[in-house]
Amino acid sequence: MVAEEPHVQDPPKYVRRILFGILPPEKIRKMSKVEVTTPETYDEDGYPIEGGVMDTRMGVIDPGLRCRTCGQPAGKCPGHFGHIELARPVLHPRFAERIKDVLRATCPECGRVRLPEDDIEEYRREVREGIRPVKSIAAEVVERAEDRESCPHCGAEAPKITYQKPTTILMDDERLWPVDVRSWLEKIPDGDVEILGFHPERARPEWAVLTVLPVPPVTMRPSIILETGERAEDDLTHKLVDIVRVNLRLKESLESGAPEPIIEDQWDLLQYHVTTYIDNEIGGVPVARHRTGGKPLKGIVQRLKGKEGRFRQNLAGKRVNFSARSVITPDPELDPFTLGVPKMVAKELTVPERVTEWNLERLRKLVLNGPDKYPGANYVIKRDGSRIRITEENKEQVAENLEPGDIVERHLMDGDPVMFNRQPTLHVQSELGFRTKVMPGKTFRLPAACYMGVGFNADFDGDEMNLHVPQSEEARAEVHELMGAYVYHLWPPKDGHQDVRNSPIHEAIVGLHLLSRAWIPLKEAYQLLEEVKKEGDWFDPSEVELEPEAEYSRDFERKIHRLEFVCGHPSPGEPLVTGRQLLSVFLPEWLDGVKIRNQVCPEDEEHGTVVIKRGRIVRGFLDEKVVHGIMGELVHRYAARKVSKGEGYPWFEAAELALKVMDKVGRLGLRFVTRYGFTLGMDELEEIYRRFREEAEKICRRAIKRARKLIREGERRLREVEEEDVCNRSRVERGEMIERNIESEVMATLDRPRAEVERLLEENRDLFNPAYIMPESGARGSITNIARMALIGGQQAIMGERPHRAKHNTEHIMEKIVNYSYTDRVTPHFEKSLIPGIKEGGFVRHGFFEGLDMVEYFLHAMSGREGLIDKGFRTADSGYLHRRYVTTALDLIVDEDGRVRDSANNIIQLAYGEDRVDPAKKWGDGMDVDRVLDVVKEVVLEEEEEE
Amino acid sequence: MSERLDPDVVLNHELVPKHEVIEDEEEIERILEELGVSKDDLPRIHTNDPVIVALSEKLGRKIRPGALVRIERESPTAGKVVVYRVVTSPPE
Repeated sequence: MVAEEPHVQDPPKYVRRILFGILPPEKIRKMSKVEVTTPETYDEDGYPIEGGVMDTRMGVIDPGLRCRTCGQPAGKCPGHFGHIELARPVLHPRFAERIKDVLRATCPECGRVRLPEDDIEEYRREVREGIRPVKSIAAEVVERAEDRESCPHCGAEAPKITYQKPTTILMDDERLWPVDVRSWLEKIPDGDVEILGFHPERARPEWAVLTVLPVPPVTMRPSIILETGERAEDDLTHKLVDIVRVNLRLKESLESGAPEPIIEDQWDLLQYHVTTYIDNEIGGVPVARHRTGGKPLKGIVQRLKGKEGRFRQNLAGKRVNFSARSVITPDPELDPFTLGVPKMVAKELTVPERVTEWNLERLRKLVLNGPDKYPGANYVIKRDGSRIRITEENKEQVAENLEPGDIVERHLMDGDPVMFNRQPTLHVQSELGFRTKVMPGKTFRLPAACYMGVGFNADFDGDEMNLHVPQSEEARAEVHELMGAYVYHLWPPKDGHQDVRNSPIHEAIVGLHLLSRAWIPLKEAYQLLEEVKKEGDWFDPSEVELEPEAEYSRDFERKIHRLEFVCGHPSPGEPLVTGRQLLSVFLPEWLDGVKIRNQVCPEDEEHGTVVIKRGRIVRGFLDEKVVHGIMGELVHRYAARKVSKGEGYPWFEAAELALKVMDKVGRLGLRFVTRYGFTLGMDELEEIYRRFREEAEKICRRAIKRARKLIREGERRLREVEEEDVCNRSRVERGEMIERNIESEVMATLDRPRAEVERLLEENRDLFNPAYIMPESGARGSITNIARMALIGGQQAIMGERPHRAKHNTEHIMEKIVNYSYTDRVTPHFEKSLIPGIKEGGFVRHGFFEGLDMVEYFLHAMSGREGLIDKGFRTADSGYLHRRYVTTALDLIVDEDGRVRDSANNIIQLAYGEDRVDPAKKWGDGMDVDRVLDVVKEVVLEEEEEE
Repeated sequence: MSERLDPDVVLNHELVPKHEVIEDEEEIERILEELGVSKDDLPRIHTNDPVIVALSEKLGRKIRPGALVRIERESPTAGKVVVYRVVTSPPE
């Protein structure tokens, strides 16, 4: 059987333009199905009352009822408009200000714009020809016409029009009621209306004075049934009821000929209700509130406006299907570019797959498994478009009837491309393509050995991330090709492949560093390799041949390099290999002639530089910098070789290869630390503490002595100034200057000890102490951290100054503060002084190992708190900055010719980035020529050798 | 408008790239052909842009809307870059 041509969707339609206008009253009446006349909503049975705001002719929301206009049940009926005939017209609050302008610019007698005929003619021409924005023409017209004393057409004098927000207009200090406004506006001829920014057919100014109010369909303001069985009406419905009620009362008053003041009160009340119905956030108008609870009601404007309004919440951004969210956890067993997806999620999220002759049997099996057994399927879409839900009951039958051309929505399976995302999504690297690996548990698993979390800025302390499953073959291909995690992990677009931006996680770095210094018994080396191997791996340890480099002997430890060590407890005569040999197992043979100087011991002649020859690490100790460097070399050399051999586009392959190697190397590092152990605890800090305490004390004492002298001297000079009997600005300023100078000197002096202690630590490194290994190998932390923990907290700063209380010698500030605050001292534990003392000023002598005393602790917390506050502000500010930037660049695309265009098709750049290079994908342009030449030379030599 | 700027100061300022007015219809036609775009597509520059004002002053006559301006500037990514703008009259 030949499958039917797959259905091609109709191409999307484009909105060419949208015209806005004001609804004329006739049109409101014409589109209305009901005139709403009674404020009652439901009768005793809970059935909508005819002529009320819930009239069933305006649509239905209750299941079981049918719309009396279109006859359709709830859900099908789109809803229909109704209307309210206002007993007296009211101003539309959003147009009131414009109306004021129109009134000022026109004549109350003849309705003409108060400008000479020629000018009007000229403005009209500008409007019709679209020479400049109508807005600016109207503004100019109003500005010129409102200053005229009398009308150039009929000679009538111009009255004084004043406007009181939001809906009151006065003429010569007397209230101009909306009826009069309306009849005035009606007089304005069509030709004059145009130049005032209105339109004779689409927006006559008098239509902005409401005589009829449209009542939106019930479907637009559905009521909710609470758990208690009560009905809660929508805010708009409440407001409409108010309007109808007041309107009815006003109508009765008019009919019964009530006294004028009463009518005016009711009229104003009607205006108030209409105003708040449209916009409930107008300044000067009391906010309309719920009868219970007092929450402000949502007007029409509030439905549309702002971040939570219809546009930004529902139109510019939408909720999506086929997505999942869960906590992330690391998994060192996962391959790079794969993502562990919980089975629970895989059973819910599906991939549509079209049935063909070739996959019929496979898909039939999935359907037979049903929705609960993994791997199964949830839906079948027949060729006629009907959707069948697979259940335990019907699965056999559905499977039986499955035929080519149907679509099976099968569970997510291993290897399916998915998108994985973490907020804030600031980057390409924040949403990447991964391959699925379904696993038990409830968290998403990120491959950890090569740290796939970098671009996401994720950690595993409770972070949650989102998963999206592409729903068409096209989308699947795009996710795979364009969003490939491997590429963006190695090359963030920003640096144009300058640097490979990924290396194994911290633990693995420590492991690799130690491994490169270790001698390992041959047996254990193989065990390690066996541990690195994964199920079904390309890597097979039994094929690896490790040549022992030495045999263990009693004095072996004395013969090796001073930084090397022996793992485990080998017996004499046991063969040993180096960790470097072990690492070399994973490096390709063509990686040759690499020399990278490390950071751990760059001065060491033998092992300060890592040397790789023909894929073997000959010598050198690894650290973060080196591992990073090796990754870079792998990628660049591989790609360069391919290019030199004329094999075009090596970029995907190179990335994949580098990550493959990184995964293995990283795992080896991890296995190694796990096996031999690595810890940093009090003991390590104690060792450092005991070794350097005295020296550190000395450094501190020296600095304190110097600082004390500075303070004493400053104090003396300040006293001198204070005791002068003149009282003027210059004295105060002089005092302040002295204080500032002293402070900055003291600060500099007291900031030194920590730096000196750090230098001391740096100069006396002990690379067998984990407290050193961690920062020095580049895994995590810094010497500063170690110094703070073991020896000295150092000077604390708040906003760049030493902590202090109210400023003393500035009298004007003092006056205010003296009554309710400490002055002249930081805490009451100190004597008053003009310049805070050493400890008082936040100098922390002790490290965390010894413990901080009370004052130190408090001041340290103060400066710690500053950091937290700053971080909060920074993220908020930079988030807003980012949003502003993104919204400007949002609609820019690169067209087929490499030009950047915006959504209106304007050209922004003639060539993307001015050089048409996408830094994320470039290879040809801007590569490191020297480097490539080197590699090309190598390749040529190699080939010659072979010949 | 505030005080007139000296055209030489404007044109020789280190932040102002080299601007060159092209008014010859045939030349314009040729450039558009080469770029494969129409005039409407190109970015615009207003007649009251300081550079255009300065250039008009140098030329001793007004530069009419519709002319092209060829701008040569240094680019951190592509070395020297040539872009074109269409002279238009400013709004309002």
